[in-house]
Amino acid sequence: MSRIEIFNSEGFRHDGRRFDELRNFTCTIGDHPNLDGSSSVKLGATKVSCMVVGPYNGPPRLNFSIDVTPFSTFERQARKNEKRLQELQSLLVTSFTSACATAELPGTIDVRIQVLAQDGGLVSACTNAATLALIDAGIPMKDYICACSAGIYDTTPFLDLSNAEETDLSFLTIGALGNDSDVLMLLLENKIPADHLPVVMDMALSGTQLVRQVMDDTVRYYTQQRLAKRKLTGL
Amino acid sequence: MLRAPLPVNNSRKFVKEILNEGFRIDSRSLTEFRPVQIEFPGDYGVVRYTQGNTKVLVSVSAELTQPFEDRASEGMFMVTTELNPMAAPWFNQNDSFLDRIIEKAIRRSAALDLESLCVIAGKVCWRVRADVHVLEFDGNLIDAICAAVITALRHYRHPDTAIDHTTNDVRLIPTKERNPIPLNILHTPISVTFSFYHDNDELLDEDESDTTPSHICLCDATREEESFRSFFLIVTINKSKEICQMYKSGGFQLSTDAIIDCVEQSYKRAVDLTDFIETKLTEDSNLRDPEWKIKLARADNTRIAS
Repeated sequence: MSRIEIFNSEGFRHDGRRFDELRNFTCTIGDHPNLDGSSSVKLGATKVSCMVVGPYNGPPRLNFSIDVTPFSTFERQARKNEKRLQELQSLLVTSFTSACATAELPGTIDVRIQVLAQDGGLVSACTNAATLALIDAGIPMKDYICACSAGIYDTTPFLDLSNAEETDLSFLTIGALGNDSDVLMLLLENKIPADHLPVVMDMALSGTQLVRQVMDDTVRYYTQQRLAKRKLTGL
Repeated sequence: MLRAPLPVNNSRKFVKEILNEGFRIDSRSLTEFRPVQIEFPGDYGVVRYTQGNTKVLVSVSAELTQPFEDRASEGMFMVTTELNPMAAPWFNQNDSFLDRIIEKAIRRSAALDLESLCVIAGKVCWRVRADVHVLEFDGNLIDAICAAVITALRHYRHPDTAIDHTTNDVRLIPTKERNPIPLNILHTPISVTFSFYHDNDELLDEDESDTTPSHICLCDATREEESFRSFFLIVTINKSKEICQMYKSGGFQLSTDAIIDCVEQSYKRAVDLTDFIETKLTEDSNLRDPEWKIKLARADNTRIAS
């Protein structure tokens, strides 16, 4: 166990959040001028940037590659957990393939995710970044895939765990399609008592709604800016 | 994940049609599992696990080695799966997804107590490896491998060690002198894979409706059924109702109720399979126990045909 107090008697978590609060979640899209689509997502101290190239001539397919920079964790480490990243890639490929109507895609799309800083919620940050970048690239999708993690401390469900909490608690990550209250992707890697599962899943799903709201606002804001620019230049 | 090539359209259509009516080609019900057989053909730690036509051979071995520097007081454990074309013609390389799921189910869930494998901290520890050979493939490889590996681990015994405290030398005691020691297994994780299918294919295109498309959930799919499923959900759970691992790939959405339903089903399966594994293990240990053999050999004993 670590030395931090996970949940104090006043009902605050170690970083001052309540149990059902998200960390500061901000995102930008289209910040890379030369690519078809790009986004960067900050989830607390976790920072992920995503680039999309395509569709270009090729079979209708989505390719994902995730790169975790060695300086992303507190202690600089050489790349090792390759298998974990491969699994994450295949999870993202299947999830986005079902959300993007891939069969009607005009070509291959490459999605490249750079993890710049890790402080918990890696899977959800990657998923959200990929959603935004694909939207920026104009790929037709059924809805946003919004992901959020949730864990359990004793009997209290926690939303969006930080790294310190992730090392101590068991947690899962859920991805949902838009406002839907159903689960599109699910990843659980620690032991969770089955009786607590419904509470944690509900908590994660409520988190995806919050995430969706932020992503929707961002997309609308940037689109309006773009439209305003077009009006100025008279295009 | 390795996928079998799609079967011809006709047989696929047929399988799909009868699935919609609630039947399967091998006359099981949708939530029924194929019969499981567990044999111990060789030494300690060798298990042949059969589930329907899927056959897996696992052999566990251990050797003394130096522990990792950052984990000085822990032993090592690794699972290697070998998929060769003997099992199925399209198996030619190892599947990292499969390795990862097995590793999460057994290693990360701490089924094997690694600290008990330490002999001298920082110097000597046991390295346990489980080699998985897929002999025949007929679907549901993850469940079969997971159950086979955990059975083999529970069956395995390694020789005892003696430490010379003046020189810190570790000596293996021959199994004839002292009984070999079983591994310290903390729980028995059981994986259950559920395959999902759309109720009908038209829903794929007109997904505008607000309701979740209804689906068919299948337990223990065969190779043919597995090859055209829409997506799958893997639940690894143990007898004390702790979920060790869960994975759902894309496909379509699943309500939380449906997921909890699957968890309940897999829990029932875990209880049944764990009990079955335990009875098989006690049967085998009775056969291997020399005292038991002496009891069997006594003249006043009723003879058991071998």
